[in-house]
Amino acid sequence: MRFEEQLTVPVAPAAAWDFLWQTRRVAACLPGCTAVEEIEPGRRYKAQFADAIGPYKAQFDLDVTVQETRPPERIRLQASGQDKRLGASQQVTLEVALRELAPRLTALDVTADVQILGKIAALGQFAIKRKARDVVQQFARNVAAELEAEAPSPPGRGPG
Amino acid sequence: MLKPFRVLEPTTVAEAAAELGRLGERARVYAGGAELVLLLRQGLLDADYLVNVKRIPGLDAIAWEDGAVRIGATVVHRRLETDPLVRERLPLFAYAEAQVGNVRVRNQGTVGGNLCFADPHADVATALLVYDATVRLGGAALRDLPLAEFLVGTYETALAPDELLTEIRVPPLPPGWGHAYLRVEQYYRPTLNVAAALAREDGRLGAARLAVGCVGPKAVRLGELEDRLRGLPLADAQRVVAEARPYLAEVLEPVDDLLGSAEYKVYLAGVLLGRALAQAAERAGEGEHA
Repeated sequence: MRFEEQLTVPVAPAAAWDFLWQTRRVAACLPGCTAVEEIEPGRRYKAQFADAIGPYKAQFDLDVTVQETRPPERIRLQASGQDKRLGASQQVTLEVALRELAPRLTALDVTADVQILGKIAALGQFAIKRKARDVVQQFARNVAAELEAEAPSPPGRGPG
Repeated sequence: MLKPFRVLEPTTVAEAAAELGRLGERARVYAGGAELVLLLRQGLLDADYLVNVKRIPGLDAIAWEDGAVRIGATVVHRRLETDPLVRERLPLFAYAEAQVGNVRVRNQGTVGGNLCFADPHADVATALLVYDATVRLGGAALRDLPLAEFLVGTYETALAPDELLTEIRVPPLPPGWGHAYLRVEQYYRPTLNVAAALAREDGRLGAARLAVGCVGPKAVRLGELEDRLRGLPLADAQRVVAEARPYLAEVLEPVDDLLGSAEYKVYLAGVLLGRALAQAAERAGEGEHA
């Protein structure tokens, strides 16, 4: 399942790039991400991800690997893991491409390729797809909100 | 493999609701088990306790009261398909009930279980929406909700953890109204269904009610489209429905999946709605002479 989200943030690409490496802040933007741990800075991480569709709860222990970085233009990472209780596995490839639209204005193209396998599929592809799409959309919105909050106020309109 | 669990057998709604509140997610309501047992066996749901609500007197009743058919939550689909009162007063609903699963499922599955399971690929909710049905929830207090508010999303309802769906109140369609329920199906489950009910006035459509299920996270009424059809000759109403795809796409929230592309589902919803209008209009004509 492939999802694409575009967002525009009021900071320069370098600032947006810096943000993407603040692991905890990025993790906080991902709905359902309950813990993140740095294994090898810039390369490998572990994360826990929990989510539910109605009463059906899944919890994945994910190994996150940074596959490609091209500062400050592109990052691609892959997360894979399992929910042992449900016998489900998940693999996500997440790519974020940054483009400068104007000074202090950056477009982020977020592409997520999500695969969820196992008995959980009995809930129906429609349910899982809808949930995955919602998570990706919320992630994009949260990242935009975080970066907007840290953007410097426009000249002449700041406090004081 | 089913894991061991305890079965609780409360004899009142208050007792059942209290047990559900006390045990939280460790307990699941057992009514017919048509869906629940499959999920437990798959390991998708855990339960240390099953609260069997079939022993609660009155929950399996069908009765006529205050201008509505009162249907207890543990009434099985097969009874709704065959019950004389339901067939007479709620013919669209009785017909939709006859489409549920297969006869084995209909003999086991309950109307309350079907609504609480909230699988969008279901017949019951779509049909009940055109009746403006309400549900009664029992717990520490009783509350009544329109069905449209009870249905929240995919596998989600407005039930609180310490509440039990006790009955559904279904007022019949006004006298003379025609109705239709159409679906396409795969493996016993509807992949798209529509329900339509309407009045005819001087050869034109009067009030109309339309519902579509299976496409989005829950079955929905098409209020805006219903309003636009009022006063139109049938052919014009069908044209309006066929041209309403952008509206349908917005309201139905389709996704591409193995059952079809989002675009296909919206197209098919339009086709079935057009046919349902024709069928309902024809029956409304008959109704005037009945």
